Amino acid sequence: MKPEMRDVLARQSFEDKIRKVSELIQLSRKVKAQRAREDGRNYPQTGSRYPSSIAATSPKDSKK
Amino acid sequence: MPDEPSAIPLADVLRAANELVSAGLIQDYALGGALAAIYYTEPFTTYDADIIFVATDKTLSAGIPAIYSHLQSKGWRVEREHLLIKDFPVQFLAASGLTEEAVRNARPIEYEGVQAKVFRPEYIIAIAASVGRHKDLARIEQLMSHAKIDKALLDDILRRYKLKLPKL
Repeated sequence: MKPEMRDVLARQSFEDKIRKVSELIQLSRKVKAQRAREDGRNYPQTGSRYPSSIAATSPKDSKK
Repeated sequence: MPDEPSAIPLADVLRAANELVSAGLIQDYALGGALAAIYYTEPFTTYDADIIFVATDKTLSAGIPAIYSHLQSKGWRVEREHLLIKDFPVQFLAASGLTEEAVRNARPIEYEGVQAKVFRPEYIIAIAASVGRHKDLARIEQLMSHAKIDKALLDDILRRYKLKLPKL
């Protein structure tokens, strides 16, 4: 981000900045949810967030 | 970590902290951590609020059980090290040494009509220098770039607490 833009944002009221942080949190939540959906589509058989090749060799499995 | 809330109920947090002072459960408090830094810099993502308080109860527990009971009676929930209000995590941290001085010298503010105090940037920088994680170094850089720093005050704090600023 350009320094001038950062200055403009820094000069906003605290209330406005907290509203922006709330928006950033919502955005982060959306991205996480989307990523979780995509992982579910990519690796549905394992029920894992990892591909089956990795999930099968996880330390948890190797202890069995 | 609790689910991220959709909005930050900061006025509720500050109102609750004021109630703790009125109830005599804490002597004084100030907003610290990332939200205090955001008071002076551009907004960035953070998932909790830090309330740094000067304890009334000077025993080892710093009165934390009584603080938790009081807030739970007002509908706050406990999840690991956080207290949650409207699903937003808040940490109540007992002040000592540098952080106690930061509370006592904190800047009075008004947020959505609620009187509160926020750490001065010189103290946020000194605390970040004492912790020294990557995000603390980034915080120092942001504050040095955007906040009006009282250089003499910062140097005095750093000298008294034997701290050094990292090379940015």
